Amino acid sequence: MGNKADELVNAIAEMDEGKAIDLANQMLAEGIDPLEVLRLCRVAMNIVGERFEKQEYFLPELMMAGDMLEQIGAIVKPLLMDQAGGEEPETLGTIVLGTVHGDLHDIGKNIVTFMLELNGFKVIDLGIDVPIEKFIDAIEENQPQVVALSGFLTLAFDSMKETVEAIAEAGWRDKVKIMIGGGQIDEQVTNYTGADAFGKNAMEAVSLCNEWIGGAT
Amino acid sequence: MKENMVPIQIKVQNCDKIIECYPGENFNEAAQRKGLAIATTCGREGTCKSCAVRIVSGKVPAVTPDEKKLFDDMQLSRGWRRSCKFVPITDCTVHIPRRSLLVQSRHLIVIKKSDQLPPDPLVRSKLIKLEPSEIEGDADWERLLQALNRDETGPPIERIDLWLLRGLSRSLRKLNWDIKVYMRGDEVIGIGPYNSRAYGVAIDLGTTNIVGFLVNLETGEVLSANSTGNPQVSFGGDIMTRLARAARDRDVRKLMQKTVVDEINNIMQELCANEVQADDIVAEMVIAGNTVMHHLLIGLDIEQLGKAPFVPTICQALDIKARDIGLISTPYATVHFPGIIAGFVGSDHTMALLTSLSSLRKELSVIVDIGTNTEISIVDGDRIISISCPSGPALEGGEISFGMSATEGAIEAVQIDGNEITLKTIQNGAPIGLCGSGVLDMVAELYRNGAINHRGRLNITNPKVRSRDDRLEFIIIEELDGIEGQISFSQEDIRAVQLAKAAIRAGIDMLLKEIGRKETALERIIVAGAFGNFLNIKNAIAVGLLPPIPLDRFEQVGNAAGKGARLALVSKKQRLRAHTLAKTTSYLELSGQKAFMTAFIDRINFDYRKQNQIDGLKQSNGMETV
Repeated sequence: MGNKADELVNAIAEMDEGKAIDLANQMLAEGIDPLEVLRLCRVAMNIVGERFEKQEYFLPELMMAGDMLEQIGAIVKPLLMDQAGGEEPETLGTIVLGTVHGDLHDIGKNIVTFMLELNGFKVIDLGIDVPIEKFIDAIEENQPQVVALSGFLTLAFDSMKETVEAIAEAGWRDKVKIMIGGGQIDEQVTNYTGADAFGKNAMEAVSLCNEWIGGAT
Repeated sequence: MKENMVPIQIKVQNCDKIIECYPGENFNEAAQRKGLAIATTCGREGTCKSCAVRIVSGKVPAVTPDEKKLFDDMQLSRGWRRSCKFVPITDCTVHIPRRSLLVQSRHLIVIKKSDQLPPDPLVRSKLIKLEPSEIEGDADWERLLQALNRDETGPPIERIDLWLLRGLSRSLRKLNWDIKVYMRGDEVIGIGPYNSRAYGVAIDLGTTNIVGFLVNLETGEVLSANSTGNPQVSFGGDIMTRLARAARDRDVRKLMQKTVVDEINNIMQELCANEVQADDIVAEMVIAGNTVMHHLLIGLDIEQLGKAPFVPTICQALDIKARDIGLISTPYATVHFPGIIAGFVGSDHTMALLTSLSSLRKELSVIVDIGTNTEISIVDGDRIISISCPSGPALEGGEISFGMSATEGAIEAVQIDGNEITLKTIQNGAPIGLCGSGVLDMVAELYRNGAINHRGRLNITNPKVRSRDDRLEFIIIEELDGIEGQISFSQEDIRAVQLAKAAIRAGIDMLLKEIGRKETALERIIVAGAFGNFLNIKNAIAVGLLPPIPLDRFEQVGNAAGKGARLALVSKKQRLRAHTLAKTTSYLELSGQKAFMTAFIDRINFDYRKQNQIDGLKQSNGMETV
C-alpha cells in the first residue's frame, strides 16, 4: 500500500488527473480507510501549496488540484457517511465565509473554502457581493468559531469594516474570530477593518483557523 | 507642528536638486511636495519597486525583510531602496533612476494629411458690421441680436454667454463695430475681429497619458498635437487606487481634479502657441476618457463606481462650459463629454468605436483597446457588445520590476537566441527599463527559448536565470553593466503578464461565446491604444493574448480614442453617431461570472501545442511581420 499512497500523492502533486482518480478508486476498492485517502490528499495539496508559494505553480495548478480533490472527495463522502452511520462526519469547527458587498471576486475565496474543507472544517460559503445582513443571519444560524471576509477591490476594505462593525453590533464580536483576505491586505488594512488577522493565501487561512480553533496541524 | 522641525536635506545627484524632508516623512512624498514626481505605481503601499532610488552617500537605512524580496544583496549593498518607504534620518545624496521619474515628456505626434476631417461643425460664424450707437438707440445686445437674426438660415439666436455679455459693450467699441460673431445653437459664444478664426481642441484623457489636438473648426485641419503623462499618477498608477483615495478624502479628490485641469490648461497653451492668434477663439472642446477620469474631471460622485455594481452617475453625453470645470483659458468654450457605455467602458471606448466602425464593412470584428483596463467590443452586424477586462498595467510596463513608460531608453523590442539577447530601445538610448511592447516581447522570447515552461515558470537551469530568496528572475543586464543598475525580469513579472493576457483573451472568448461564433470566424481584429500600436502581433499571438488568426486580419490603429474625439469635435453628424453607438452598445459584466473565471484560468498557461501553428502564420503576401 505504501507505494500506492506515494503514487497518489505524486499524481496529484504532478497534476496527473486521470491517474490520481484511478488510484483513489483502487485504494478504496482495496478497503483502505477513506480517511486515510483524504489524509493523502492533504499531503499532496500541501506540496501543491508549497510549490505555489515558491511560484513554481500558479493559479491553474491550484484549480486543477482543487478539481481532482473535489472528485476524490465526492467518491469518499458516501463511504464516510456509511462509517458514521449515515450522519454528517464530525468537523473541527465551522467557518462562515464570503466576499463582502460591492466586490465580485471569487477565485481566491473558492480556493480558501476548498482548502478549509480539505482540512476538516465545515465551511458555509455565502458567495460573492454578500450583504451585511446575510453574514449576520448565517452567523446566528451556524454559530461559527471563525468568520472569513474576502475582498479584492480597494474599496472592499470599507465593506469589510462595515461588516465587522455590524457583527459587533449584533453582539457576536467576542464570540467569533474574524479573518480577512484578498487583494493588497496587510497589518494596516487589518487594523482599519477591525478584523483579528489577515491571511495572504489559502494556506495561511488554514493555519489561522487551526490556531484559533485548536485543530490538528 | 512640521514648521518647528528641522528638515533633512536630500541632494538628488542626477537632477541637481535639494529635497527637504520633514522628520518622519518618506522621501517619495517629500519629492512630490517639491515638484519632483517619482513613480508610485502601487500608491505608496510598498508592494512594488517602481519608486526605487539609490542612496549614494549618507546613512542608508537597514534592510527590511520586504526589501530583501525586491532587491538582491548586490543592489542592497549599493544602496537601492524604495523611496516610498525611505524615511531619511540624516542628510544624504540619492540617485533617482530615470525609469522611476515621472518625466512629463512631451511627444511630438506626427499628423498625416489623411487626418484632415470633413467639417460639419457645431459652431458657426457670421460677419457683422453695426453702425455706431446713437442717443435714443437700442442697447448693444438688442442691436447685435437684430443683426444676427436678419437673413439667418440657422436656428434663431436668443441668448449670449453671460461672461461674454459682461464685456460685450467694450468689445464692440474696441473692434469698431466690425466683428465676427461665433454662435452655437441659439447662443452667441464668441466675438472677435472680422479676420479672426475659431478653433477646437480634442483631448484623450487617459489614466496614464493625456493627448491633445488642435483643430481648425472651419476646415477640419489638425494643426498641432501633443501628449503628456497624466499627473494624477502620483495618486496611484491604476484607476482603482485613485478611485479609492478620492472616495475616502474629498480634499484629495479636489486636488486630483485640479491636477488634471492644470495639465489640460498647459496642453492647450502649448497646442495654441504657434497656431492661434490673440484674437482667435477656442470655441469647442471634446474630452474623452474612461468613466473614472470623466467623473473626476467633472466632479461627480465616484464612490459608487469603485464597488459592484459599478454604476456611473450619468452615461448621456454632456455639454459643459469650460469655466465650470476650471478651464479658464477658454471660459466661453463648450466642453463636450461624449456618452459613456458603462462603469468601466468609458467615452474613450465610444470614441474608439466611432473611429473603427466608420470604415466597417459589416464583418465580424473585435475592437481591443489595451490598457490597465482593456475594453473590448465585438461587432456582429448591428449588434455591439462591450466588456471591460481587468488586465492590469503590466502590458504598459506598469508594476513590472523594471517597467517604465515609453520614453528614451525604454526597451521596446527584445530578441533572444540562446544566450544572445538583442535589445532595441527608444531613440537608441542606453537601456534603463522595459516599456509595454518590450514586456510582451520578453515573455514571448523567454517562452520561445524554453527559459519558461508552458506554465510560465522560469527554468532555473537557464544560465541567465537566478534565484534570490527563493524568487527567480531572468537577468537582462547585470547591476554593474547597466547605466542605472541591473535590469531583470522576475517570475512575478511573468505572472503579471500571464494574468493580463489571460484576462484579455478570456474576454474575447466570452464575447464570441455570447454571439455563438468561433474565433476562426473573426474577420477583423482592430488593436487600438498607444501600446497596441507598437505591439508585435505575432508575439501577442505566441503568448496567447490574441487569437491565432492570419496576420492580415489584424489592424493596428493607434490612438483611436483621440481620433474619435477629433471626429466628434468637427462634425455634428459624427457626434450624433457617437450618441447612437453609446446608447446601442450593450455591456456584459464579467466579474463574478463563472464562465469568465473558467475561461480566464484556461488562458493563463501558454499553449505549447499551437506554437508551430503560430510560427507558420504569415501575412497573406507571404511576408512575415517584424
